[in-house]
Amino acid sequence: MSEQPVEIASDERRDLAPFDDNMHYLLSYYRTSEISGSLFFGRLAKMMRPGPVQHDMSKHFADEAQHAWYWTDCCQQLGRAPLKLVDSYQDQYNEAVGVPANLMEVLAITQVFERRVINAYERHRRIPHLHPTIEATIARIMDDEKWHIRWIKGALERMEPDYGKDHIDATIQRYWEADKEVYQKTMKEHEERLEFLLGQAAARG
Amino acid sequence: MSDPNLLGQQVKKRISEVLRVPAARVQDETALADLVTESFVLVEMAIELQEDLGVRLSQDDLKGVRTVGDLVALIGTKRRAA
Repeated sequence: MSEQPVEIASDERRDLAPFDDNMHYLLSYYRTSEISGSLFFGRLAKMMRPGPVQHDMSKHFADEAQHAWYWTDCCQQLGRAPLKLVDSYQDQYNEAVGVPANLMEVLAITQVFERRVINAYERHRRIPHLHPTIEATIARIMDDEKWHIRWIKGALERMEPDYGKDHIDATIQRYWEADKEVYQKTMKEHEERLEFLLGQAAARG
Repeated sequence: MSDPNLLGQQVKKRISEVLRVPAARVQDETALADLVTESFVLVEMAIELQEDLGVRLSQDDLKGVRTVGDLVALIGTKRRAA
């Protein structure tokens, strides 16, 4: 069942940023990354012991699965099926930052990663004359993403007696530093496409 | 559990179960890279082993781990230190 299409007047439609190959790639990439996130957290949620982390992680993976559906539907509404992509942000990220080995590290890396995702969606939202269907999709996803940051922050705070606040803070800091490097290296294609769209829209006025 | 052989058997059994590979494939000299095809599975395996065996491993701890035997030795060291 598709979401209700956003109604656009014909004169407005003329000014919209086109759903070209770059936009198509980016939306498909978001979809693939949401699927990877969902599968990862789904598997973790399956092996978690009962408790608040199990509860919130279950919602987290359900959200990400839903987001993958939103992007699938968004592409379809704009007239093209999503591309089948192999790599996701998560795959590239884990390869570059290293594999977390305990739940605290998983949550710390996820907190850094989720902030990066929010930042990527915020930047996408700034493309002038963005198609309202894409804008509405990002808006729906952002609410969930903000909750993801909140629940992870709370879970990490509850882990302080076990892991130590200083150790948790140092772990997050280490992942922040790795993130800066990783983003530059792994997200080159994503960045180039986004920059192209932002530049193209600016040139069109 | 202080018997290293017993610990080794327990770790290998759990690795075999979590990764769904035949127990015969999980030997001391087996490289973890040959058993784990993607990084997400390694995360799953590390967390499962910690939950089952009551030890805490970190990313730094796993940096020097290449084989199943290395992992058994690391878990043994962690348990003795606990």
